[in-house]
Amino acid sequence: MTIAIWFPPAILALAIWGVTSFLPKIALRALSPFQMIIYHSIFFLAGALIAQLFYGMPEFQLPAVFFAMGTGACGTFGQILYLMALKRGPVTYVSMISSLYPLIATVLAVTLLKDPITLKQGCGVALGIASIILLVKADGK
Amino acid sequence: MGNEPPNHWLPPAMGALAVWGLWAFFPKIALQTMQPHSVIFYEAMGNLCVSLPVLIFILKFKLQKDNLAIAITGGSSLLTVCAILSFFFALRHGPVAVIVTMTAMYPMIALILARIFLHERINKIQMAAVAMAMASILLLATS
Repeated sequence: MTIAIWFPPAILALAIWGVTSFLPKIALRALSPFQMIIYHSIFFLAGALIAQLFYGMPEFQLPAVFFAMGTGACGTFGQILYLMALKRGPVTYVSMISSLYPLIATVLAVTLLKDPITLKQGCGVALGIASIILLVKADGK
Repeated sequence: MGNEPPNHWLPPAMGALAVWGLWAFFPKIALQTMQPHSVIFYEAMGNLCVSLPVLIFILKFKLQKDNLAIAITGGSSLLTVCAILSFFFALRHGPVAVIVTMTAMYPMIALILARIFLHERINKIQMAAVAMAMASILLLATS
């Protein structure tokens, strides 16, 4: 059995996001969601600057810079839309719909980048998305 | 609330779904010509493009000051930078669909940690979800 080169960093990201996923819930006791978005952006920039110390100055390649900035803008704008939806609707459905974002990314990658996925990987993605839906559904009960 | 249509939460929820889909997809394009550390730097700039208008127009420059909450947010944000750097390294070498799905299963980790450290009960649906997530990771890892 060979482990793909992308697997260890993907598992590390999964583990860190799992550990940090409950931290904002504690901070939200004292800060409003909009306040938290501001503080997060400031600390995120600080963290990104620290990363530059290890790797050197950031490169400047167009149009990659626009896509990278679009990544940040989409992440934060998504947070705002999610909070707006949560304010108006049931947490279970709002979380379930928004947690399906891997489907959007999958469709975009397969159609626009012709990113190849094997049948086994396709089954893994389908099972993973089903587990995300179940996790969100169980959390609402 | 009373005069609003029943599904008025749906447009922002669908909006969040769409833009988070783009959030997961855009780095793959940026990583074709730039290193992960550069992409995360410009991602931080992109964050500010949205959060600064929030600070100016919604919060009117008024920031709450709760040291503990700010420290927790700071720690969480710094760890998020590490997670995103790892995510970018993975995305640079592997397929978007697989990596985005795998990393989106992080609620499973939170659930397991809550069971171990907080002794929270896990119901049958949650157990099934964790088992499915693990099976999915196994499938993706050995593909």
